[in-house]
Amino acid sequence: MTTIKLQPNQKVANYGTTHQYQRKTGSVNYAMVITRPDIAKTTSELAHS
Amino acid sequence: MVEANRCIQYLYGSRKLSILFDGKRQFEREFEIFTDTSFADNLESRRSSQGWLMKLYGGPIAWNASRQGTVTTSSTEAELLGLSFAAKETMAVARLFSGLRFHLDQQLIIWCDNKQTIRLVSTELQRLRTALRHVDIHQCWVRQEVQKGTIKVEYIQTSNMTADGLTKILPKASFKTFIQQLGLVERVQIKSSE
Repeated sequence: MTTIKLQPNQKVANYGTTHQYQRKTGSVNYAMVITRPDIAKTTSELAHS
Repeated sequence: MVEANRCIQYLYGSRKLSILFDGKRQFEREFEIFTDTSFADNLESRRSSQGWLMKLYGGPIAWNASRQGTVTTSSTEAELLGLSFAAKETMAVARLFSGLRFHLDQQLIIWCDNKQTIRLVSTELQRLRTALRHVDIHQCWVRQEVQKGTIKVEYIQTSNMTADGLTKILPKASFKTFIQQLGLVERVQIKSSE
């Protein structure tokens, strides 16, 4: 697993894409809270951007 | 979006990775807390990242990776804030344990990888001269708890610091050791319905 840097969204975010991103981040967050401490930092980064 | 997908991909690829408590694991202490901070790693706000992790019988039971609420002017100050945060969580868990009548034989130990911070909270005379009042308050609080004997802060090398991976994005090799340190094991024997 290579690391990729978080890039700001170049396109204009509409309601749909924002919602989709939030859903994905939320799903990842759920897994992190239950059993996966290894993705804690990644989750935090995703949620902050 | 690409990044979120990447994370989900990783999760799927490593879905068999799980926390294992089998009673066979080697550990030095029953209950231990790790705390680490990454100073001013956010380039926009210059706030620091903090992370803590609690291990019970060698397996992780609680963890947190977050960004600190305030900007600090030195790594020692950042570490102090993180330490105080972890100490509060530790005391909450300790209260839960005593509520469950689960008694630990050993003293609560918080591992920290910053010698300066440990010296500041453990010795009588040394005191960080800081202009930041909110940092000073945390420092006094942690020192008070250490003197009361509720907690003990000890030094651990960064290489053995489990919470290191909670504060920074690790390259592949150190990520593997991070997973080992966390005690995550690929499960194979358990029957799965996948």
